[in-house]
Amino acid sequence: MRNPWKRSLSLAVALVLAAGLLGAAPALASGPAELKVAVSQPVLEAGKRQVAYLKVALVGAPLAVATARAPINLAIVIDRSGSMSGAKLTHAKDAAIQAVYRLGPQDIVSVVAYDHNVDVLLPSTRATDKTEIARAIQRLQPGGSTALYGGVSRGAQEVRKFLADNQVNRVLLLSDGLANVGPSSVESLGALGASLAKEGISVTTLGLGLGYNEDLMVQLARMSDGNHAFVEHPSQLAQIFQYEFGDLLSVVATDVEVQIACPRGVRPLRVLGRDAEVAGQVVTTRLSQLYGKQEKYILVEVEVDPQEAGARLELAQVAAAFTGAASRTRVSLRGQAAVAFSASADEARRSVDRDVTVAAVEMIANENNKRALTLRDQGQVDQARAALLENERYLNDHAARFNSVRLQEQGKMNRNASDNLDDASWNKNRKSLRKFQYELDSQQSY
Amino acid sequence: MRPRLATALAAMVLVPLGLLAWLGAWLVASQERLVRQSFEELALAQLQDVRGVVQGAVEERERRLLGAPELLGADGAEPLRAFVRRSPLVRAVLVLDPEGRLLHPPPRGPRTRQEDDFLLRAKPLLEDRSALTSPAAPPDLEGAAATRRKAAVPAARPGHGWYVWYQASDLALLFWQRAPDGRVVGVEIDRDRLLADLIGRLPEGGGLDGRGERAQAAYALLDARGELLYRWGPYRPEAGENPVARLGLAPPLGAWQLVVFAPQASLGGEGVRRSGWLALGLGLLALALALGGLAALLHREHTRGLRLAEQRVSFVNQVSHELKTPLTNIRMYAELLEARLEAEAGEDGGDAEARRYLGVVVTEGQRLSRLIDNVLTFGRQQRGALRLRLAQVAPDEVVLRAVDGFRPALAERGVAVELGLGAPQAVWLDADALTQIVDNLLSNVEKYGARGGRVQVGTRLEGALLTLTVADQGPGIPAGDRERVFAPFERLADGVTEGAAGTGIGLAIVRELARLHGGDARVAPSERGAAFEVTLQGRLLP
Repeated sequence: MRNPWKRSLSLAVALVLAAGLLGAAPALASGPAELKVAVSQPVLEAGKRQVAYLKVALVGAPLAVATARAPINLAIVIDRSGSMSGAKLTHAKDAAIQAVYRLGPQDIVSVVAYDHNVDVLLPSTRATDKTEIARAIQRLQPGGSTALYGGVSRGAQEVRKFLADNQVNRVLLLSDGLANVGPSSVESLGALGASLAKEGISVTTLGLGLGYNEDLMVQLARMSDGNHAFVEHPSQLAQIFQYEFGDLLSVVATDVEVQIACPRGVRPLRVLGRDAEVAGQVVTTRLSQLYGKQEKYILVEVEVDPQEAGARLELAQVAAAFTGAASRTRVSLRGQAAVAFSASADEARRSVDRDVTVAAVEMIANENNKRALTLRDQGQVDQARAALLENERYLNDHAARFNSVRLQEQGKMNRNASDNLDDASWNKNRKSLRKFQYELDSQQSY
Repeated sequence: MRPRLATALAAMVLVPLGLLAWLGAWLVASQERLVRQSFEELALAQLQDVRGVVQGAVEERERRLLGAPELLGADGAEPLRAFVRRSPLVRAVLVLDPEGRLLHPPPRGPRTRQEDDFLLRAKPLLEDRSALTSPAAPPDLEGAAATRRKAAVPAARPGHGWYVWYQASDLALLFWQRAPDGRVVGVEIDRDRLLADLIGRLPEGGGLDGRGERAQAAYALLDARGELLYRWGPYRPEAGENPVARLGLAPPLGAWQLVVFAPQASLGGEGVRRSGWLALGLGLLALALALGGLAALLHREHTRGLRLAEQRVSFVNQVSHELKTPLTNIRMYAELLEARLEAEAGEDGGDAEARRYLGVVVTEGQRLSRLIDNVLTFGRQQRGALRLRLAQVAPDEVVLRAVDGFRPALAERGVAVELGLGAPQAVWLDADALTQIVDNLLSNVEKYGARGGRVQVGTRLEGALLTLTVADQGPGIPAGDRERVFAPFERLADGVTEGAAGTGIGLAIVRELARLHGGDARVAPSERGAAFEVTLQGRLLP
């Protein structure tokens, strides 16, 4: 049975990619990525304290030549606990081996396996002799428990051996079980992820089957700016590995820093979806990489002090810096956003930026979705269902207003989720929801 | 005799067996102890190596932070935030002015959410700032491991150190240093990241290569609560298994500890023990078989000897019995003939030659008779069938008759008999037994004591207790052999018995008969020659 989330998701992905293709064309000349800063409502009503959304987007340019991509430094960390035996491990091995064949001689691979112990099956090595890498992967045998923390730590250690700024440093973690050897709290794994992100190492977490801890896997990916996927059936692994490697091979920029500084009269309230640092008027965040033809954005909710009609106010100064994959040089981009104030509420309403507002609605609906999940976690099934249906209405209203298929699809997802809150389907539904939430938060491509 | 032999044989088998078993068990146990001890020492040495690695890693990080210009030279909040953003190991930065007032995170804002979290986490530290600001840091409390104590760990150089506290039962670490301008700059170390780095330095699992091999040991790093942080080594300990050795890490990670688990087998448990006990068991079994075999052999030889002797005795008994009747006839007729020759001889003395011949026949007949009596008595004694036949006799008469019977033989060997008889009253005695006693003693004198040329035979009666003494002037009996002569078949193996014939049972019979009478036979002390003293407890006449 195909996951209903999945179907709507692929549709959404296709749409995003199509939009990216159209919008990114001019960026080709300007560098590896383009910075776009926009406000949800460029004209605000005068004399009123109000909230606006600022969208700072970075759009990766399509890779011009395959050779210009950033070298990949990858550690494949595979769970070989007893529960992985059989089809899971076979598919995982095949998928990993297939994917490794897409790497080039400039790339670096290592293979780490863990059960209760952690072993480096293949220390960091250039991906020249792929048969040797395949052999290391084939050596995997299922064993005992799940030392997930140790596995990730050692995978990161292998990546660290050849750490460089202008490459894609990544740990690819595949697990089907609960971490039960070593630290296993969401906080610990999140802290580890955040720490790795500081070095430019991202962790992509693939949760296989219905036995893993999705909160932990999502948090690890979120804090390290990696991808996350819920792989229900081992047979889907090959596809997921191809997606992941597709992402890895399309990285156009690494080590991305974004700083958004707001002037007086504008207060950043929060950053939706992403982990960011808000210190007074300044919002700082990092991304580990930008992928070609993909948009990553930071959505900031700001509160604007009342202004007189006809006034103009700068909302933010944005500075972005990253290392280009092809040029291997540091690129700095600047942007800004400003709003005008009008006495006419109508004019203000007419000025609404569709793209930014849709993104904001998406993010707010996503927050609502997370709250509904928390309610369900607390056993308040009815309240959770009500919240999801309310969220569907919210999404549908905006979908109608902005004629957004994407929002409509998400509304459907919320309804779908509300139908699967019973104990029998909740585990799977929860994993799908977590994956979906993270996908929206991080603008993940798959 | 038989049960004693069985006991002796059992002892012969069991005593060395038991001794060896005890010794072997002790040996195996001590070997086990030794193996275990050496394993523990080895394990501890390995843990010390690992601790060194961890300590090295921590010191390396200390060095990197110590005097770092981007940390000490930072002016304002933003460069410090950038430092935190860039440093994987650092969670937060704390700056206090020389008076201990908070400079960073900015006390009056604006602060990031992360900084607010840090201030919350670091509450115990902020309430105890003197640990960082007072010139002399409080003494090292290494025991932080076990309890929720905080420990300021001063390093060798004053002006920097670690502050360790517990936050939500997790270890929280802060490395602080004093800037040249007197500010105290501390960085909160990301515990999770430090652990990840340590894991990168600790040995790999060995799980794959170890598979199939004998599981030897497992090593683990445990946190303050004893929770497993990381483990390696092929062995998989049971839940709740006790570690073989444990070692706390050096400060600031004093709350964490390293432990080793090992299967009982590699501890000199199962493996060594089983093989040790097996070897011991087999050895003991072999020994038991050998000793048992030997004992059985000895037992068989002994019983065969006994049976043979019994057969011999019974043969001799039968023969003696058969001989006795014709001999009695021979003696009777010889004595009749002697009496007739005596009577016919008249005044002229008759045929002196023939009388002498007959005398020899009579004497030798008597000797043979005594011999046979001895054998039969001994045989009866062996069978336990020796009984006294008490009769009313005057001991002196019996003794005199016996001495008279010996006179010719003694005279022939030049031995004069001196009598000192003092037991004329009749008592209840076995006259035959008394005769046999005197005969045997005189026979010995004839055989061994003839050289002395004199034998004193004396009797004494005290109540019903008859004491008979026979003393010669011969070579005597060495003091050490005075008991041995009474044992059957014991003949003193020196010049005394040389050339002398004898059955070796005479004195044994003397003692046996005396004891049957409630008396005893012993060698009496004498200046010269052998003196025997025999007591017989007769019964007085009513």
